[in-house]
Amino acid sequence: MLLLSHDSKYLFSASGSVLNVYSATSGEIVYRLSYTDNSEESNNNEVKIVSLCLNPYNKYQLFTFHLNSVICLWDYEDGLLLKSFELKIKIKKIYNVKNSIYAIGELKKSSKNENDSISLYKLQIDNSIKNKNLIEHELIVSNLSINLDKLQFAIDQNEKYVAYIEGRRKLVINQFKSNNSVKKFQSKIELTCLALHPNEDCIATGTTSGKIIIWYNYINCAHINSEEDSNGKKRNLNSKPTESVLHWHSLPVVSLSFTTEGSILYSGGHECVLVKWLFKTGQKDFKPRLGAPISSITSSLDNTFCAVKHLDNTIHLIGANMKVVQTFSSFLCPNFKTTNKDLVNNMDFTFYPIGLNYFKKLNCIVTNGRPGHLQFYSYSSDKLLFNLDIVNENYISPENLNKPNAHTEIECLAFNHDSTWLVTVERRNDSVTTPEIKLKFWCYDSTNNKFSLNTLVRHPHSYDKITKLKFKPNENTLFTCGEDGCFKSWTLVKNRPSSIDQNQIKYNWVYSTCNGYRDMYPSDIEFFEINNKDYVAVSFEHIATLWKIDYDKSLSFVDDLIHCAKDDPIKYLKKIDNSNLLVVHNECLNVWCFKHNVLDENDLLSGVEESLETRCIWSQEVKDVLKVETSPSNDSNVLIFVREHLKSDESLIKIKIGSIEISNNSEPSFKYCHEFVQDLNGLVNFVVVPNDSIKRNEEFSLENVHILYADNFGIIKKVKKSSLSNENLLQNNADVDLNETMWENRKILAKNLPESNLARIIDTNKSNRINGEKDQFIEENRNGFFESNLNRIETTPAYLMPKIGTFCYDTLRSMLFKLDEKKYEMQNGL
Amino acid sequence: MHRLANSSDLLCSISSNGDCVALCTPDGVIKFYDTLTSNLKLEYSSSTHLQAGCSCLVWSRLKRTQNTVQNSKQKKLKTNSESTNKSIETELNDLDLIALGTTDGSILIYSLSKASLHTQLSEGGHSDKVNDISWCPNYSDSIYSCSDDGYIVEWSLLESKVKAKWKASKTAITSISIDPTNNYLICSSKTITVWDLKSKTKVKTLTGHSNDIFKLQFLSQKNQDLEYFFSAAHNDRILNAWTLNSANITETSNQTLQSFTLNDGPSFLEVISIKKNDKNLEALVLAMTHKGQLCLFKYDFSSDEKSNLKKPLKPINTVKLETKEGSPLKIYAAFLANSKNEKLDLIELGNVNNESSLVDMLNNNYLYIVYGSHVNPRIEKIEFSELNETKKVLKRDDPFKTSVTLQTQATKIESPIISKDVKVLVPGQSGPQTSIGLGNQQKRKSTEPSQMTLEERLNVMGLDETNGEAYYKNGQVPKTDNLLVLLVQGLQSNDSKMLNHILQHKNDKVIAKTVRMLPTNYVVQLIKELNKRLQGHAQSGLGLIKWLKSVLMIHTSYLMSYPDLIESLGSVYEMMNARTKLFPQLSKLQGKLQLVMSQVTSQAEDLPSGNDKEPLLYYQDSTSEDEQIEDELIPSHSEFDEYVFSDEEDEEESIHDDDDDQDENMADDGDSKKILKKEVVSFKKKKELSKSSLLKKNKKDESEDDDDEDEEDDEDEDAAENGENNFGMEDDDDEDDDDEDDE
Repeated sequence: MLLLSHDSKYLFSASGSVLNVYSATSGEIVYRLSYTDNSEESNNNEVKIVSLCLNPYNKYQLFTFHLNSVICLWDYEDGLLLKSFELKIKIKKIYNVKNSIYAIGELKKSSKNENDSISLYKLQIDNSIKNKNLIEHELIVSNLSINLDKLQFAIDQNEKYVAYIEGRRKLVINQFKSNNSVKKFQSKIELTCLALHPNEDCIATGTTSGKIIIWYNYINCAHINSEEDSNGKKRNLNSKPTESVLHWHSLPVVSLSFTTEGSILYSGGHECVLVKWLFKTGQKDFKPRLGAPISSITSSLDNTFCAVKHLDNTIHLIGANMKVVQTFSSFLCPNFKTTNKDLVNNMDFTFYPIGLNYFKKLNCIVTNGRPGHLQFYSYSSDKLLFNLDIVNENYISPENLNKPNAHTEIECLAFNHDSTWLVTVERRNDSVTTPEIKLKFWCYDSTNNKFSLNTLVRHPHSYDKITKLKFKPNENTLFTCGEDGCFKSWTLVKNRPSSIDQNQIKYNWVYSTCNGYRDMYPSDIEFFEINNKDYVAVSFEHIATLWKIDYDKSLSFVDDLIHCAKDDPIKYLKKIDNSNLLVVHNECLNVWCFKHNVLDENDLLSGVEESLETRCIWSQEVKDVLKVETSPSNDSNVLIFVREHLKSDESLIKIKIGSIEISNNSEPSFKYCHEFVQDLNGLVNFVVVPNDSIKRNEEFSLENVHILYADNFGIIKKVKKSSLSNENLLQNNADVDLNETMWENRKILAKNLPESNLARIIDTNKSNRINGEKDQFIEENRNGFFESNLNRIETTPAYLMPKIGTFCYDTLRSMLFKLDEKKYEMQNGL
Repeated sequence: MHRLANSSDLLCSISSNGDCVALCTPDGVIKFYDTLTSNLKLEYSSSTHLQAGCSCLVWSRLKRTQNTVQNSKQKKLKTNSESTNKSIETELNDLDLIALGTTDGSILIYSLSKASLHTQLSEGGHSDKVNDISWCPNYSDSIYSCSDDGYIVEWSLLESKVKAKWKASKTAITSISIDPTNNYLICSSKTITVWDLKSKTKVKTLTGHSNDIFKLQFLSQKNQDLEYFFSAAHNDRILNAWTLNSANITETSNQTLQSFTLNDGPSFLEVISIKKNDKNLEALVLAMTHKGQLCLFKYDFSSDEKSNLKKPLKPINTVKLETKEGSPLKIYAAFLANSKNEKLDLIELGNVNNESSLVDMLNNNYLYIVYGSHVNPRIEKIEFSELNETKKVLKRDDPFKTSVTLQTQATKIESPIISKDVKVLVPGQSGPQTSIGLGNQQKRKSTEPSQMTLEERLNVMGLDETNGEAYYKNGQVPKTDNLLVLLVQGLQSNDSKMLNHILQHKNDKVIAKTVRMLPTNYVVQLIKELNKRLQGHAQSGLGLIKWLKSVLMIHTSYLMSYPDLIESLGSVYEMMNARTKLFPQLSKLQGKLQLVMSQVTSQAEDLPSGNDKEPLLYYQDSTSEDEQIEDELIPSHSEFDEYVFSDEEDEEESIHDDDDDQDENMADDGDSKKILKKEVVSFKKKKELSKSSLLKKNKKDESEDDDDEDEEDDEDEDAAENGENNFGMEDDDDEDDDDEDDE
């Protein structure tokens, strides 16, 4: 749902129950309007906004239509709820034609008329703000069979007929003004979307083959039934509507939009290209590389730009010169609907393969954005900061939507301890040619907020996938795990100065070590420091191994830790403190304790190897571990996210958050501290970000962090604090009550803008007209007043003047000298 | 006029939540920059900016709160007056207002989120330049302004009207501030006057500066009844701290509490209060000098209140910016932010040692500085750990020399910097590269043509020419000679276009001749060049391999004697190694395929004779199945292995397999021979398919060579079975066909 205000200053977009009012010039959200008190509850389905339209009688007001049949009238410039009332129709969609509002919907079950089918109604809304509940509806067309998800319905500007697509190929014209005559035209190609020309009787329809068919002359021609055709009956000469075809798209046309005068037609589809057709001549202009497939196009009333909404939830404002003027985006959803449906339904499928990552320097979350890009999303302001182009490839839409092209995707990402280095792994595997894998080291320059490529490694683990990247804490050493069965380390070294400028010392990354264990695949890495010696733990399938890092950075095998059965592979390794390691299997948690045996001096002298004692001190079974995170401030506190299936409803899953703590002497304690229910829609990714209220030397608690999560819907949510501490968690469905006091209390800061001189003239004339008879003084001095203002008109610069037509009449009227009624009568009498 | 002195200064103001910086450029345009990305967000120029320039910029006090739920819940409990304040607060939050004072006395209130002028306060207000504006700290609807005309005006934002106006001074009032409790107003010219806000009466006058004070700022925290504020005056190298006794205003001392020295007149002042242990109150003062140097002061209020005459404090830290060439860069403004990038005016510390340094205390916070030109200002986040020295000089790029890109801001796509000197690692490059000693390096350089003297180069060129002439005389094709000259020139000038052209030649003879004539001191350079080019895609390297091969073949002797052979050509070797990694496996595959093909063809040749004769013996096996026909024709994997490897395990296995096969063979002999021809054709097709599976198997075999024998047996059997199954599946279709044929 996308709407532009009449003067194109504001853009309205509904998300859940909240109406966002954006300013087109600044790109900021001006108001978040929600008629319920708890605007945070976006998952509350009852109050979800279904449709919105401008008030036809007052262009500065806006109607929102909610799912529970409530209609709200807003003053969008001041962010005020003017009134709200209920309707007897369940509204699905709203169409605004000139001064009337049409609604597609069905009557509520409670009403007597048990007509369940979707029908078109005309709404008559009482415009006065004081009166309530005055709303009437009038049935216009009943039994519509249309697809409401697509843009397949339009109403003529003269309110004579409606046009819609029935089924797959039928274009239906219903002339409701003249005895409900229905005409159906069969198209050869499947129709996808429809737009009606604002001034002419002309319909543009998009097709699955990418052609845009334009229908003319359908009013006058007779109704053709396919059966009659086959019977070979006589046909009128005029019987077929005239068709013409515009063709550029190769994939189905998704959205069509005419400009207000109808001279230009915009079309868009999966190609990520906005096509501008000069309607009469068929000339076209393009805005390519918009980044994501287009889902809907709305052109502004004053033709300054059109708003294009994309599948990844971005909105672009594109000016008449086909340049992007403004971009509105929050968290991106890279779902382009080309991926395999079975894959999307899979529980472990995610559109964010690198997960959510916290980037300290910009205080934002980094994850996959557009194909081959990283999105930097600031959660505190709910804004997308930017998309970083990592692979430097353009997204090419596929030839066929069912066969997506292979594109390079970022699969792993890691930041080092101070966020100065970013490492990405990108892979392109089309299963025809050899896969291309690149490991890239990016250096972040905080002085200009730029990332620069430092080292590029082709095929770091020969031709096999990389599964894990991890930086050694407080050191510029990266460890990578690959599916070739080895884990490698990379270090930053000083480059030999180039011959050109000796002073500049350059650094780059080189490959340092490579180790493997029993031909098994490594899965995770964790680092330790025991007795000032560096150790690294690496998990191989179900075995965790412990390696010692020697002074020359080579690794030597120390011990392997086996606890679980072979069929329960290790998912994560997490250090709890320097002597305890949490080993997270798929369905089991183990804590291993390392103890450094203190040696006598004699032993040291005699050269006995120092020994490390390892033992498993704690083990607990859990279900289906999703993710393990440590708090960014205090890494001895580990949060574990567990997924459970609800038995009652298969489409929901329960997510539990547990924390594990180890005190010095006792056993580790593990308890669930929070749980919530979530739709089953792929893998849920979590990230823990610091809350700023953390004070140092303070005990860790969940209050000090924000836990954010995102699933494949492309919406990022925060685990709520109140429910975190609370035991009764399933109280999300709070009662919806209209809290009107909230709006009554609202004070508006007055606007006292200087009027232009002409506006002042119009204003005085208007007020004169209203209380003309009362104010004798003004009447007597009107001529003099006008003369003084004429001077002002002459001195006012042209660019400050409103349109001449708007004040012409008033000015002329003010020039007339109004005769006194008595005098007039006397004159007449005489 | 004091104002003229700093007219070159930019008016710069930071929004109270720290996400936006407003700059007023000399042409009267106000630009808004995002602090996180330093991108231009918005520009605004008022319609009267040419007549009345902007004289001050003040942001409203707001904190963007995300938790609107909490707000609304609190609201219900509040009394009426508070709720109005609250609603004004939300309104201010939504609108994101900034007040602009102009030189003609009017005040413009601009809404950043709406990107439009919200209101204009002018009627009944000032008649001269507005010098300072102060928003109320408690979100009431009043704002205060002072002007050159000596009046202070209180405005109502709700009505956009003057609430109160009084003459406060005969001279111009240069700055104004409201105390956090909203009881007192202080304004200043050369002296500071304290006003009671309720009664609008003058309470006290304080003196301490010799010049016009341009900035007064209260500390956001008070210490019991004492409130503190700081003042800065133009061209006065001293900042002053004052105290105000809010309980009994007349008791307030007339003297400065503490003064701070700067080495230049201040141009910007920002005060942050630091609360320690809930009691101790300290202030952190950020002051900017006219020269653009940032000075940090720390002052502890509880320290000593005994002596009236104290030594002025010196800055604990100064920050200077310089370009790489050493010319100074000016910092316009600075502020302190927490890790969420919100601007701070109060830092609460837990139990911290009094002794701990500033850097330690603030390590969770960041210092933002605004510097650069007004065309392209930079906003930079500095960690306090960087300010470890008391006099820190930071080197930055000259902002005048960098280009402004507006494109990124509209589309929100950032492209990273990919410079030419990116290090590329290809597989096979092993071991960390150790830096090379100096002596070694110099030696290496002396052989590089780019380091040769001009004379030497000329000599080399001359040598080439004489060589060329010699060839001419001998009647050789001149083409190679031209190529050689071009090649040498290309290598010398590092002209990639020229080299591209030369290296495109694929004629073996041309290449060989050119390379043979190449002077030896260019050999290494050519190899390096080839190596660089070969690191791209394998396809593009096809032609280059010929060059590399001939260079290595012809100049082996020179290369052997080359002193830095390993260092400079190691990468070439590694690349070749990596590229040919799959070669042995491929040649194995080729061998196997040849074997299969030879078997097939030999059997196909046998066909006619076998078909004619009646078999001597029929053996009818009731259990035999037609499906097994093809197994004889397509040797199973174990059979391959038998031919290729002579390992014992393989043999055992194959024997075992063969037993099975032989039974089937016996049974199906007759049938199979009839349809053999057809089989051959279909097999050829399948061969393509089986290639890939064979390759995989090979890999496995190799990797398992070193492993335990048991495991290998298991694996091999598995694989063999898989292979058979696969073939069985694929052959089903053919079999059907066969049946039809028979009928």
